[in-house]
Amino acid sequence: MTGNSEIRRPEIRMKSERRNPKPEVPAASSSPQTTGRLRTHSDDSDAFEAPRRTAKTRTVSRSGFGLRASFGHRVSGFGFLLALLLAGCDRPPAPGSAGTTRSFDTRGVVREIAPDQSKAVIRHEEIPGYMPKMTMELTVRRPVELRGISVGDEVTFRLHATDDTHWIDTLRRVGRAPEEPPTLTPFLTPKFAQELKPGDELPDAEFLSESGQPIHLKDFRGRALAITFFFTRCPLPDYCPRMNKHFREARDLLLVRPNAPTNWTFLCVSFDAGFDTPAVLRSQAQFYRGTNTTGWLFASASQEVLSEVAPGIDLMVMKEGESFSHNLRTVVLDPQGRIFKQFDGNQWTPEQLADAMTEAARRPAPGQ
Amino acid sequence: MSIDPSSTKEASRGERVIIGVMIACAFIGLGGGWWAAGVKPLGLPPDRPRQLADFALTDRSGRAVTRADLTNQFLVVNFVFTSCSVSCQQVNHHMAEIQRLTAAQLDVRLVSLTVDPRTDTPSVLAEYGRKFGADTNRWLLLTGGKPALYAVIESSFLPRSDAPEWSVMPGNFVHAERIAVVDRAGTVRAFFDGMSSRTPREIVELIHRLRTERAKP
Repeated sequence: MTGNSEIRRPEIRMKSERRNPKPEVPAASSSPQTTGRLRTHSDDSDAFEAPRRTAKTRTVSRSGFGLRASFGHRVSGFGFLLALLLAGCDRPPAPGSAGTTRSFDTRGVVREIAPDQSKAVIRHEEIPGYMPKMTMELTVRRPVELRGISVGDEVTFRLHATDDTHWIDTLRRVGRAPEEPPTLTPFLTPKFAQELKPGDELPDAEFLSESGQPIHLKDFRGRALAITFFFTRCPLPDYCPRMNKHFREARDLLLVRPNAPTNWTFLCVSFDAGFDTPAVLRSQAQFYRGTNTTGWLFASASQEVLSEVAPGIDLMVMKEGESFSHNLRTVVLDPQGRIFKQFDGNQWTPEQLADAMTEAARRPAPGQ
Repeated sequence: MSIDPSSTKEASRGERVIIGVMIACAFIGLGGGWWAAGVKPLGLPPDRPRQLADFALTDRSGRAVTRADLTNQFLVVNFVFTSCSVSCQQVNHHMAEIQRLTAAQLDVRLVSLTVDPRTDTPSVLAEYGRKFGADTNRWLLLTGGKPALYAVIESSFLPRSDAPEWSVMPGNFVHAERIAVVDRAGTVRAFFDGMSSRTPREIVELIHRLRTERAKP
C-alpha cells in the first residue's frame, strides 16, 4: 500500500461525505463513458455500498440481489477498457496482435458469484502497470474452480486479458477476508454546550409520544421524571433492553412500595424516530410495560431536538451502518425540571433509580 | 637528491586508490541514501510535532498513573469508549493483536484512553479489558476527569474539530479511530488506521525500526 492510500483510509472511515474519489482509471480510460460502462467502483465506494455486516450475522448482500439483474451487462466493458488501455499505450496493437494474451497473478476478495458459477465479482488488488485496485465482474474459465469458494473468501487467481476478452483461472481460496465492521458516522449536530450538573434545569424539549401527540418536558412539571434514551432495534442486551428492564423494575418498585409518592413518570425516548414510529413504540411499550401503563411513556426525539438535548447530559449517539452506537444516559428531573440525579452507563440498579425518583418527587413543585 | 620516479608512481597509485575508495564510498553512501529513501514509511506523521504531555489519570484498578510511569518505553495508544457497539471494537482487537505480537518486548506498553469517562469508570474499563484480554501490566486502560483526559488527548495526539458538526467521538476529536505510536523519548512518531488489519504488523515493524535507529546527534 502506498502512503497516499493510507492517508485516505481514516477519512473514509470517519465521514461518508468525504469518501475517496473514484480512483484514476489509467491511461485513456478515464472518460466518464468508460467508467460508466465498466461499472467498476473504487474499493471504498464498494465498502460504502456493502451492507452492514456484524461479527454475528451475515446479511444477504444487497448487491447480491442485483447480481441476477446485472450479470451479463457489466462484463462487456472489460474488453472496451482493455482496448482503450492499449490504445493509450505508446505501442498500439499491431494488426493481428489480437491473439496476444497478457497474464497477471493477483489476489482479491470474492464479493458475488453468479448462479451458474461462470462469473465472479472480485474486489482485486492493484495489478501493477495494468489496473488499480477495484471491484470487477470477471469471467471464470473453469467454473469448477469456484467449488468450495464462497462470498467473502480471499482468493488468488490469474487474470488473462487479450484485446477483446478476459478470463481468470487457477482460482485458489487462501483465506477468509476480515469482516468489515460498519463505520461510524455523525448523527447529531449539537451546538457546543456545557454539560449540566445536578441542580441545573434541563431545557425544554418536544418529543413525539407513543400516541402520536407532541409532548414537552415542561408538561411533567410537578412530577419526578426519569428519562432514558434508546432505540427499539438495539441489538445489545446490556444496552437499551437493560434500560427498559430497569425502568420496569424501578416503576414496579414505586407502585408497590408503601408510602411512595405518586407524582412521577418514566419516559423512554427513542433517537431512531425514522424507524420508531408511534406504532412501533406502542408495541415496544406493550412488551416491557405489559397491560399496566401507569407512569411510563414511550416517545421519540427528532435529530434536531436530540442535538439540543444531548450535549447537556453528555449523551452521544452516532450512526453505525443502519444501526446506532450510543452511550447510556438516564436523567432524573425534580418537579421543577432540574436535574436531580444522573445515572451513567448500565452499572446502576432499579432500586437506586426508584430511590432517586422517590426523593426527587418529594422536592418542591414549581411555585412552592 | 633526485626524486625516485617509482615512489612518485607509488604515491600517485596510492592517491588513485584513495580516490577510488572515496568514489566507491560516495556511491555506497548515495546507494544507501536511495535504499533508505526506498524504505516504505510506516503510518502517518502527526499533524504537528507532538510530545506526550504530563498527565495524571486513573487505571482500571483505581491506581493513579502519571506520565512518569511511562518513561523510556514505546507506547501504543488508542482512544476508546466502551459504549461503541461494533466498529470501535475492531480497533481494540487490533490492540490485542499488538499485545500478543509484542509479548516478549518489555519496552512496549499499550495505553487506551477513554473519551467517555462518565460511562467508563475503572470498573467498567476492567470488564472491558478482560473482554480483550488486556494484560494489566502491559495494557493500561485509563480514565479520569474529562478535562484531564481531553487535555492529554488534545495536546499529545488528536486535533479537535471546531466544526459545528459532531465528529464520531465525544470531545469532537478527529481521527479517534487511529492508533498512535510514541517513542521512548515521548515523541509521537506515527498514527495508524485502527480499523485496518495491516496495522498491528506495521506498528510492530515501526517499533522495531525505532528501536534500532541510531541516536540522533
